[in-house]
Amino acid sequence: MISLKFKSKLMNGCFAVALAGFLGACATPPGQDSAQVMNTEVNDPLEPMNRYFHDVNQAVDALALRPVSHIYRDAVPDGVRDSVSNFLTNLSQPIYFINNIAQGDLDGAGDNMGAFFTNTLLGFGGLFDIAQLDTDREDLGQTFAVWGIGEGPYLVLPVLGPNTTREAVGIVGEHFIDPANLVARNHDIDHFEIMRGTARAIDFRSKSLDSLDEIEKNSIDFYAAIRSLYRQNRKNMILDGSEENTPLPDISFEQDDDKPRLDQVSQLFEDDNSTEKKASKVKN
Amino acid sequence: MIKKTLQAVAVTSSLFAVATIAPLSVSAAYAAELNEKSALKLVEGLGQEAVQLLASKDLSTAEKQRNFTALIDRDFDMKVIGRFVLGKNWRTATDSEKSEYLELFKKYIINTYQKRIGEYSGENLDIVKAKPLNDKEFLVNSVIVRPKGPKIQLDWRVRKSKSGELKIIDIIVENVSMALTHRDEFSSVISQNGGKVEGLLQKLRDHTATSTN
Repeated sequence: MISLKFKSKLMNGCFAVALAGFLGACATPPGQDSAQVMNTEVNDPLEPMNRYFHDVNQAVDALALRPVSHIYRDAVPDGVRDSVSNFLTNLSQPIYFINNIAQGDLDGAGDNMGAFFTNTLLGFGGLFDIAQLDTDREDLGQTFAVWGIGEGPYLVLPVLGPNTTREAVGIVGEHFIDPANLVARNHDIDHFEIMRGTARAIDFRSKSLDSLDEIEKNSIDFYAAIRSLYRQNRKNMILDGSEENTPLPDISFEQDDDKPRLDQVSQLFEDDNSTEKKASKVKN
Repeated sequence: MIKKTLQAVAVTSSLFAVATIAPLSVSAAYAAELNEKSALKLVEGLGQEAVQLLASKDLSTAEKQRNFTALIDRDFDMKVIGRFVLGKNWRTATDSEKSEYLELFKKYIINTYQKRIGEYSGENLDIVKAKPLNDKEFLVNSVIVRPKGPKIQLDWRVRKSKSGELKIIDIIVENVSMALTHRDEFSSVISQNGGKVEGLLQKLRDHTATSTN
């Protein structure tokens, strides 16, 4: 029964994820008594509102984005979809470049520039990925993070989906500084950002149809699953996916430490006060 | 004269120190390497067996489920994972809640990942390397190579249990920890139910009941 209810709620998180892109993480320990304690611990003080927009977004997804993405994926040939994807990435290379410069990642910025010129000139305006440089998405929110600005509370925006306050500010900022937007404005291209956003959403959603459906189906709290996935993925993006830097969750698995006394199951379960202290010592 | 003797003493003592320490560190390094290799083998073996099992056409669904459960039992430390996922709430749970939770959690994980791996068949799991995280944990890096689309980075966290066996304690997909995701989700369910573990158990009961049908 409950899983059915959740199924119907299904897609709003996906949609959010779809538009914003899959983003980052925070291993806050979960709360134990009330929802409020929980909210502060996972830095989601706006949870009731967020859950509301999560539901709204899922409805939008179920009614519009998901069916359109299905048709897009099934009816449009692979090659064309690849080109759409390439074109959208190429359009974003200038803002990735700016962000990489701002983050001090000159190699990344060089790749952005190389990819942009190669693909624009030789790849027919970016339809083909000739450069094959495999550039990462870099947005203003990530730049803020590199500058040391905290992520702020979790925030689900209508239509735009999962975000944190920091990323939301980044989205507004990019509206003003993204060179693609500036060019479009100068040439009086109407609704450029909406069209681009829609295209990106469909591009993303068509690639994640199966995986998001699957996560939704298998989760017992889809909202919380998306929140966790978003944060972890976001953290990963900020660290540019370098696994060396990515901190693993503190599975110093508090219960299971080296002492032989834990051989007995009953003790294993009772002794967590002392073991947790130990775990936190290790952490520090 | 005195200087020379002192020097000689210093040299011999340092030689002695090197002589005694070197074999120790060599054997420690050797042991670590051995463990790394067995961690690698563990993941490799599990990957092959799981994909073979779930892609097999001779077995019935029930048999697949049974064999898959056996694989999970063999290679995963479900108790450790289950307890990590329950987090702080472990302490407030009663004994009967704990044991029911562990059972349901295993069922939930098996249902979830059996489907997930079933869908991945046809794609290749390449084991890349293993490296130590600390004195009893290893990270095995692997990559799922798909005919279409980008590769998926998949890391396995392997831990030496007290009995000396290596067991998997986390799977990390593109730097997203599955254990942490489940933990966040479960603790959210519990807090939505007024901090009661029973609320989570009810959800898990419903979920495992509907998804086995």
